[in-house]
Amino acid sequence: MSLKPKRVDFTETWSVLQKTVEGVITLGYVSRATWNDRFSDVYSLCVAYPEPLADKLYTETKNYLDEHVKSLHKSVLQQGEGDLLTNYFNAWIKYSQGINYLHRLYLYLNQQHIRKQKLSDADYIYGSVPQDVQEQMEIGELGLEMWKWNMIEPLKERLLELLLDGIHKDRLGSSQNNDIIRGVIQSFVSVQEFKKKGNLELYEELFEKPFLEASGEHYKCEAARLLQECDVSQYMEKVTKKLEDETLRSHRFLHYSSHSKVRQRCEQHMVADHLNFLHGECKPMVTQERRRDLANMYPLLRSVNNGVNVLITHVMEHIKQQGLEAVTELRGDNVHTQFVESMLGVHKKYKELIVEVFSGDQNFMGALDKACSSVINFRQSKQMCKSPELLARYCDMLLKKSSKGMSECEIEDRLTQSITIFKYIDDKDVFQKFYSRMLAKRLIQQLSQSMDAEEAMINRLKQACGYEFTNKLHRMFTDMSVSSDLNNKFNAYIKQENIELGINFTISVLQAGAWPLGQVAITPFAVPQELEKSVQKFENFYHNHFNGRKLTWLHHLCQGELKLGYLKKTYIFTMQTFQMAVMLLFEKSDSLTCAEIQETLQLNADQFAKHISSLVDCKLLTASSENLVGPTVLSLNMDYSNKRTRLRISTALQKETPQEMEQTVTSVDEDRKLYLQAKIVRIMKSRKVLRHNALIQEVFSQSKSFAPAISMIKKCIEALIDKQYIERTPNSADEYSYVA
Amino acid sequence: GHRIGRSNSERRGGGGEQKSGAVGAAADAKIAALFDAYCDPSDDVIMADGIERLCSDLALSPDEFRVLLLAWKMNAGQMCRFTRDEFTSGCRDMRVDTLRGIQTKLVELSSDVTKDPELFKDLYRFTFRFGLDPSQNQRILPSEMAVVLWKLVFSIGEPPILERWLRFLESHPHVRGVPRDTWNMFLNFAEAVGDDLSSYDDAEAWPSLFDDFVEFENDQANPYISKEKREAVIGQH
Repeated sequence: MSLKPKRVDFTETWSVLQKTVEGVITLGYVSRATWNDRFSDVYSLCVAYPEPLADKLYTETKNYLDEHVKSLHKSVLQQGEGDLLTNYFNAWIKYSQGINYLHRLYLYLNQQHIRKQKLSDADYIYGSVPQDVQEQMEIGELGLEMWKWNMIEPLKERLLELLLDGIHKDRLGSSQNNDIIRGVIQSFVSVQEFKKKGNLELYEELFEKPFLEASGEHYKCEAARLLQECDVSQYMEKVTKKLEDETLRSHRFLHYSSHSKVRQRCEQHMVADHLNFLHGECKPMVTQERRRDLANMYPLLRSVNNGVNVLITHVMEHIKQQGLEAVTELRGDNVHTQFVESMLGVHKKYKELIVEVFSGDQNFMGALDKACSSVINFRQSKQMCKSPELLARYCDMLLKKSSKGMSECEIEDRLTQSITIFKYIDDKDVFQKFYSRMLAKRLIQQLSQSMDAEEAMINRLKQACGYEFTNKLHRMFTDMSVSSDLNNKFNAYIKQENIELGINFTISVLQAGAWPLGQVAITPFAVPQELEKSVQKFENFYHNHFNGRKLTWLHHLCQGELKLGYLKKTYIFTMQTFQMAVMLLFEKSDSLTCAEIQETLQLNADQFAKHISSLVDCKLLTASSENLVGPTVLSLNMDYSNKRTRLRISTALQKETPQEMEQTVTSVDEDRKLYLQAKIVRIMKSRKVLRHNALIQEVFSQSKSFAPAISMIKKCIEALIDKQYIERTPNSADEYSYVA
Repeated sequence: GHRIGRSNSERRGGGGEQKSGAVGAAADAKIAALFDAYCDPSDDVIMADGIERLCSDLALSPDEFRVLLLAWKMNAGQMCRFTRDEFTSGCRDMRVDTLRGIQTKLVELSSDVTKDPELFKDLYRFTFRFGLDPSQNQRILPSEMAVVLWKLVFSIGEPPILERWLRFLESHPHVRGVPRDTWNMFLNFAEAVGDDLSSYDDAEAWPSLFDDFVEFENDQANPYISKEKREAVIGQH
């Protein structure tokens, strides 16, 4: 066979070709040889000499297909109304396959003739192609186009009716013809698949739009019916089921582009249209914590606009309510434990609920945070919020030696959890004040369970609130380890110098700025002879080491161990230094008057009374009168006895006095003012000029350890204007500038 | 400054200077004589009784607005006292050298400050400094003094809110003093609120004393706020 162009008799060639075309399109038998011959016929026609006959071939083929589909349409109609879907479907399956083969038979025409004159993709997408340009189509496309015009168009109303009816039956549970329904719907898509633009137009116009309308109507009625019949729980369950079913159905029958539209339509009619009803049911559901209902409600509400916010608000209110119930009106000695553990309980419970019921939705987690924060920072009218103190106490209880019967792991665990509460606290600075006071007591009185646990806790706080926050705590901590080194050195020095102190002696040297302690002795005190040498020697030693540092002795924070040898058993008492000094006076005599003791020790009345009465209270001393002053005689109680031989006299000193509490609170206020003023100055220094609101915002965002009141910030600004750090800019009353 | 002054006079030279100098000198002499008439015999300043005499010769009472204007023009460093420098430069500045001249000038000034807000602002700000007692290094105007001065400085055009403001200060003895910024800002405040405190916004940059005032006034206006609730409102800050 020659590929050379030659003269071709069109009529003759076409009449032969036409037979094969008919065979191919009706899926009849076509032998390989015939196929090959006709394939070259198409070629010959396209390259015919002197005139190529491609256009003519195209026109004839088009006419042929036109007629063919028209006759198919007729025969589908003739087969009867009842099985229209099936007949259409069968005809389509056959035709679409046939046209596919035919397309290949015309390969040369398609590729060399039609494709070459086609407009490019770019022309289609960006260019303005005139609507009326009648382009030649590749044969496959042409066939489908014929199908569309001659088959679908005339049948479309009836097909749609039958399809909707079929799907409706499927909803009612009597499904049949599923494959046919799906196939017919698919044909609306396939018939346009070759199009580059708007290839779903036919499907959407012809089927999807009316289908969505019909489905909408259906679910509107369904919702109305369900609301008549069911309570909210049943309603939600049924709606959920229906949504699932409809989703499956749309996967079964429809093009994927419709799936989300169908779902939206259903949600619109079954959820959004009845949002008021559903919202109205949220509150009891939340307060009664009906998990199953909530778990059904959540996805329904989430699916529609503004659906879920109401639920979130109710959940927040509920948690807040539960939290307040759990932590207000607490009574007893261990309010701090009750507070922290109840609050953790509430937090844990609702966190789990949110994970389980609301799939851990961040919005609900946010509501949990808000609720917890408002419970923890709740205060009754004028009172200070108690939470920072309670949390500090809780930590103190855990970190102290006698944490009853808890394993180290358990303590670790609880301390870790307490950070959850800590993070919610607004007044973190108040917490810090209390915490550092308690830490100081633990360290000085050596009451800490373990130094590792102490350090771990400080690190947790640092992680949660930053270095600045724990700076002082760290310094306190290092003071202790430096002191222990110092004691070793001191002991070595004593040994080297052959000094005999007569007592064991440990000292803690604390930096003045880091510890929450007064920097002066609270009472005059004549150090007993027994201790004098140690004090002296240590001072010498210290000053040799650190020239120019000043030591202040805080005797009121010191304690000693005293061995009592005058009783039937030997007892070892741990007591405060002043108490020890009192007891040491009885070394030389069995009774002394209060006046004598006070004279010798120089203690002020307040401290004297406090310590004497604690010695009398624990029965080491007996008094001749209840009034412990002047001539009242104190005597050693020679009949003292106790089952235990190691004892500690706990004085009022170890407990926080109300004054100390008060002090803590006011010192927090002072600190805050200083802190804010410093912040404002720093901000103004870097910004030079700033509007009032911008400055307030900036201060807010920089205050991590507490939430400053606007009024306090304002007062600080005023104070700084007064001190001429900043001034109002001349031309604006609400703008400040930095005064260099 | 000194050197520049001399070079200026050297450059100017000639008759012009002589002439203006002569007129100036004549006026200065009259001003000096006027000063001497009221000057305290033991000191080179006009003291309280001198001021009283001056006022009565000017047909003014010492607590009158025009006396404040006079002090302002003299740029007096403190109350009840004019130094020779203050008096001399004040008179020069007003271009007066007789009692009659001062009287006329004060009438003129009185109408000037009502017409020109910037001028009044200058007087108003001066009034604060004028009220401070330099012998005690005061930086905050004691409340009673502030009330008196507010009445005085506003005696020619009282802002509608003034009466309520002063009543608030008088009924709140814990407000001990008025800092400069609060004094200055009161002028803006009075203008901004007029007679109606409902537009007041404490989120704006007002000194906090105004916050307290507005809150107090609003509570007064609302008979339904019980005392307890008032406390609660304050407690929330």
